[in-house]
Amino acid sequence: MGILSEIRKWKGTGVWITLACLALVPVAGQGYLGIMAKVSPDKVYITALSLFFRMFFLIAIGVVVSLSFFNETRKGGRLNFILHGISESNLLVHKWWAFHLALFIYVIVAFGIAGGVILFVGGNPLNVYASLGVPFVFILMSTSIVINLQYLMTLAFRGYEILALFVVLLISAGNLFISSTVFWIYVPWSYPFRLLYFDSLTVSHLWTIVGLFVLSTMLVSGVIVFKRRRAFF
Amino acid sequence: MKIRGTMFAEEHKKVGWPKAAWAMLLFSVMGNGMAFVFFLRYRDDFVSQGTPMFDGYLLFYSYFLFIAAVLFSAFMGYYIFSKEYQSGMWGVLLTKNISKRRIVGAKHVLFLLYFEGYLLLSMILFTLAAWYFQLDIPLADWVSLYGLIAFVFIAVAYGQLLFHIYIRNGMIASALSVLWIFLFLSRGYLPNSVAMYLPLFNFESVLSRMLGYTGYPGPIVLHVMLSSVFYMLVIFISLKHDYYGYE
Repeated sequence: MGILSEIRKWKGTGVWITLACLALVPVAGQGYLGIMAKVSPDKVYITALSLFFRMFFLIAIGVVVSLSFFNETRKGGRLNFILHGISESNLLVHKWWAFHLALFIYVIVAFGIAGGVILFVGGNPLNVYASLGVPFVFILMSTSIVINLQYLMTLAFRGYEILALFVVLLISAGNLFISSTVFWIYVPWSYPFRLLYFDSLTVSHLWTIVGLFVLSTMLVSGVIVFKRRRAFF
Repeated sequence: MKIRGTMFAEEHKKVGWPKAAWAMLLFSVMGNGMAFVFFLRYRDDFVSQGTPMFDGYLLFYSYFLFIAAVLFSAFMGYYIFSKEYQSGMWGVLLTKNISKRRIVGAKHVLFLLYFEGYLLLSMILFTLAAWYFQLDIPLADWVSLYGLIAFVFIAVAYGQLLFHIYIRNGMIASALSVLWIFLFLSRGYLPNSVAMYLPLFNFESVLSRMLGYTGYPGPIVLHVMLSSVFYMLVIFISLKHDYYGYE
């Protein structure tokens, strides 16, 4: 039990290698293109991270959340809660925090890899990232929205977690195209990508993101509180 | 012959036809729907550039057909191959007198059957869209297009199947389908001499040659042969692979 124990459960499942692949391939690939195109040091991180946030990051969230619930179901993890009399809401809360902790660190790591690209084009990552405080907070907020949506979806597809992963695969394929259109605001999965272009956003966009963050967190909290009333589902 | 039929029926029962049929319908509607919407949006651009409408639609169609095909292969690969690791089915080969070749062969037949079904459904939707946009496709072109796509496109599905054969965790194998999509999206940055030999892009080379473009070198026969060699190789690998053990 505990947040770190939840993360420790992923050991040996292949999650870490998959996450490394899903970050390194797009950021390094796009970063190389940015270097070749001689993009200025203060903008090259956008080039490096654009495909990552459009598609790969969403799938990484899908893999982490769905696989965690899937392993819990498959390896009979839930039986421990019957045997030891611990409520399921504890498991859900710890999972929720573990997802946030791991994926926030993942975002920071992705920015770190993009920092390497900035170094390549002759810039200083610390100088570039110093001005990104507010956008970064919003990126974390939008990450939380996507985690919450995936969390709710996986709970809804209980027992068929693979379907939640396929839904996010379909959404991320669609997001490749939708995130560049004016309809992006209706698709919460495109928020992390659009927040890279923070200057192009209006105040109403930011309020929508904050509103959805609060709403999705409340929904997840509601589900967890509902589970507390039941011994087991 | 009877045993082979039974094996196929058993494999089919394990996957469940309603699930596979719904997935087939969903993925083909998704791919074609996206191509339809995008062509509707950018049709005027093709007209202003003087690109033939049929070529323009085929461009979008091949693009979205690829993405949907990779995802559909991931779905079918999960239910046909990866689920066996979870249930520990491969252990049966150690305890019962059953030929691995027959089981894997039945799985390949099932996978190909549904994939060809997906391609046929996509071609029907393509024809409906072509009729809607009033694109003129002669019947001979339609047949040759479907014939080649049905044969060459298998390489795309088998590329994804490689993940499901080698990675015991089906969820991770499915998620890695994104790597094929990434390779497809960045194909423009690869030299033509490299892209030409990648089985994943053979369908595009064939389409380009059929439309009279010379962007990809080599005759159609070469690409068809490359695709065939690739999926024969995957079948061979899948027959030789050591499946024993749990996920």
